[in-house]
Amino acid sequence: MNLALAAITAVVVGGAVVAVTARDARATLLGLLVVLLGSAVLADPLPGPLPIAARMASAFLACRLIAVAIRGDGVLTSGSLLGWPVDVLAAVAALLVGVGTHGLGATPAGPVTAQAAGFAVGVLAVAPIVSGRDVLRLGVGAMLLLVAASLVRVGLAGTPSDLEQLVESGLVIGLGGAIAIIVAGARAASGDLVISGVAIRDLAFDAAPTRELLRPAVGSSIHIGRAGRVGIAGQASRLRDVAETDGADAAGRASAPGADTEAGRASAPDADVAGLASAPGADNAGRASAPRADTEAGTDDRPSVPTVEPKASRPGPRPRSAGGGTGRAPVRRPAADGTPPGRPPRRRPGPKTDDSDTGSDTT
Amino acid sequence: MTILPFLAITFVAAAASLLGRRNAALSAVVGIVGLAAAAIAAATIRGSDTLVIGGSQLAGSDYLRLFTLLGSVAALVLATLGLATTSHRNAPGVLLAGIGAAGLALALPDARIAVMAATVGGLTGILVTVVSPSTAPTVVVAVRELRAVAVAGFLSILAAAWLARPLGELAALPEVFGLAYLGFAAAVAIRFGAIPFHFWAARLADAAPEVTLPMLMAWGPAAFAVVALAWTDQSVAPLLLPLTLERGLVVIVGVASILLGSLAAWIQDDLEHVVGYTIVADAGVAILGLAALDPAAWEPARSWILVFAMVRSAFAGWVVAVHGTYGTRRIGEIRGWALRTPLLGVGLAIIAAAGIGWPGLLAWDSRATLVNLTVPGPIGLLVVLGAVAPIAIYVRLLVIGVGRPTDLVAQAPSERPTWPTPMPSRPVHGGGWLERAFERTNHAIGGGLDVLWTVPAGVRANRSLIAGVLVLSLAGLAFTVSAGGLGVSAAAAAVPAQGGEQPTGSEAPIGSEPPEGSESPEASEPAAESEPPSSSQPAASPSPTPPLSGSGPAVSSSPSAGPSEGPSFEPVPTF
Repeated sequence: MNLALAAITAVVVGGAVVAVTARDARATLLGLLVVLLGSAVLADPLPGPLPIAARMASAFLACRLIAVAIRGDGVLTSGSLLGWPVDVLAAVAALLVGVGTHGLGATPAGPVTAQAAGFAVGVLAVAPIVSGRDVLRLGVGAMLLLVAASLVRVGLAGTPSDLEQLVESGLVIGLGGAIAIIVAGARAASGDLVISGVAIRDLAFDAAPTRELLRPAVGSSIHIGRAGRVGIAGQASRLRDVAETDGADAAGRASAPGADTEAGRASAPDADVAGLASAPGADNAGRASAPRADTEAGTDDRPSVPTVEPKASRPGPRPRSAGGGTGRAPVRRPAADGTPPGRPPRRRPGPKTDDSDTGSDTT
Repeated sequence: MTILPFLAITFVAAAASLLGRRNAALSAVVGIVGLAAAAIAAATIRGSDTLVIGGSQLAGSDYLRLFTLLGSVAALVLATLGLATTSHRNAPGVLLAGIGAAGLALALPDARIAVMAATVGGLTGILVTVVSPSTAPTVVVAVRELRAVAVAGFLSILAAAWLARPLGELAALPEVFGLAYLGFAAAVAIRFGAIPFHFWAARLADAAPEVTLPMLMAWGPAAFAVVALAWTDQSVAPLLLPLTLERGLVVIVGVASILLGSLAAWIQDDLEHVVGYTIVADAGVAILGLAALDPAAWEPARSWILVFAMVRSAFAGWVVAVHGTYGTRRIGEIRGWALRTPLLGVGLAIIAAAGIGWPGLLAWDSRATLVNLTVPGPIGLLVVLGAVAPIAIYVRLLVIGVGRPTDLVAQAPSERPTWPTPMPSRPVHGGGWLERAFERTNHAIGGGLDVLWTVPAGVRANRSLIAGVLVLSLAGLAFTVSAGGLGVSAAAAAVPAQGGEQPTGSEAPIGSEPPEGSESPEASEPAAESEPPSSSQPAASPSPTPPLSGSGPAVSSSPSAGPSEGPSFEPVPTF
């Protein structure tokens, strides 16, 4: 066994352990970077300098993309549910299995260390992939899974060709970009890396006719002239009309121009943002033409279609600032009608209506 | 060399479209121009083209040309439909990247690299799944998508690598081949969202724009499936191993997808979900092609993949047009749509004919052949009935379409041509002929400017008509493919180039033969210096032919056989 390759294997497995067990997102990313860099040179014979350079550049680029998505202080992952000693032991066990089964029944064309590292990294990737509600951990798990497959492939079939290395570099970059998009989306949606259980439960079964939960009604669409208004944007208009009709007294400002579907949440921390709809530039499609409406996932980004809210009786997570990303408690402001902050909006007693478009029960 | 322009155009234009996404109109224009250029470049791909890059080959084929050409045209029409109705600014870039990755995967004879390229293509879908402003449900859908693509990539890379080397004593272990085969088939099923792996795909229809659904759920996974078919037919099928259990599992997934996918499409109220589940149902037939392990399934499976991807693209285009015209995707709200927009009605009828077909039509024959090869007997008849069950969906839509229009439909723009402003009349007052000539010239220029200035408003006013024409053209193309036009059958029957790079320090692995037309001496004659015969031949080996050193499976793909013949698997063990 080549000692240098053995050392690289140890580094790769160590990086993978850090990537799946660390709570600090930066440490997770550093572990992932180590895995990507180490896996580029875990072959015998070594690839040429250009393929190695491509792999390393792709590793840095992928990690940079993820780093952009997790920037900010104190971004924490949920960490390993089992604890790092268990992960280390599992990785070592898998490593030994990889050494013992080198070739998987036939003469191997690559080094045993690659297959062993592939097995170890693959085992470490399983837990985040299977049980991860933390999007960063899940993305890291996905990356590790593909790196593991690549390592086992090197152990079985030998050093990849230059073109294969190039395509793999593209795969790493693409995966890094996908993880970055998802992480940024999760932080913009909930201010956290963890997906709420409510959202997962709502999407668990698909037999029922769909509700308009998912796609933002406005914001990111291409609209040439007024064409888009008849589509999804037009639907937003109708939703707004429904809110104006049904929730006329909910927020005490239903007749005000620009009252939108968030009228039913007048006491929500961001209730005052609804007033933006009547600002200059807002059109019938809600905030479609508002500046930065669809270009940045900043703090102003929020779904225009109301999403399913936890029922009042259900103990849910504390509301977070939308897109703040820091988990900071929102500043509560009085609603437009002077309703004290935190007080739920009152409505006239009436029959319970099930708004099938929004999926939310309004009473 | 003819492959490179297509790849360069798709990837460069995709990058440009996505980088310029802050300007939606510019991004859309770049994307549409790029798709048009990609379609032209795809049409120039030559079947005999090979190019060695970085120790591996890129090989052209007629099937690659058809796949990329049809995919590019479908994406172009869908992107244009998105402009006429509604879409997402990332959509053109994602369509370009998706078809580019699919083309790259199909051009790579080495399955180990091809699956990576196809996996990259799958990742592009996340760009249109999580869009700003993002919501928790869209993130959940994107996470599921990422998980599915990663797991499918993992399984396929491992499976391809496992058998892509000199196998030697591995021949004694049919289970190894069975596991690798099962892994690759599972990867294909996951990518297609086949039942029971459909959870990620079911909600994708909600999160992704309609115009990108065919690329995410049909064209991208279809390229993956074509790679899997080639790998299976080169690496597993020729060995005639007793893979009854593995094949049975794959057949169950395929049949479940056909039957339950059709049922799910029937009960859905949302048109996008209908599209999604009909794709799942059609993908079940393609998965049966993987389960056949028979050379007779080669041509029908590849033909069906092209047919269903094209038909579902047309169906998705129809949904985009309906959604854009009436502002809703709910079936119950579009009663009378066919009366209001007859072009769309004709388009749906053509799509139905292309998707269902009849005996003698390529679509029908391919589907029937695949079912007969895998599920013979009365159950097979049931499966065939399930496969044509989507006709009930089309009939339901058409019946609703000729009903009394709802208020929503009645108020929607019709397909009748209109012009936003009346043309001003310009009387000629001149006395002499020269004066009148000048005046007429002046009026002509003025009238031309009037028309030019009114074109954008005219396009907007006629967007329903434009959408109807686009859907009709897409439906016509789908029917042409479904009927076997454009040389689909011959292209699907042709044997692709095989092989890839030579692994460093090893002999040629399975799937590493030279491309079509350049037979290697090792493969054409039993090598005296090859390994000694394995002590245990595969159970189904009918003739203990001397093994070939490090060669691929005994797939005789003689170019002289002509394109109409599929790969003639000689039941020759290679170990």
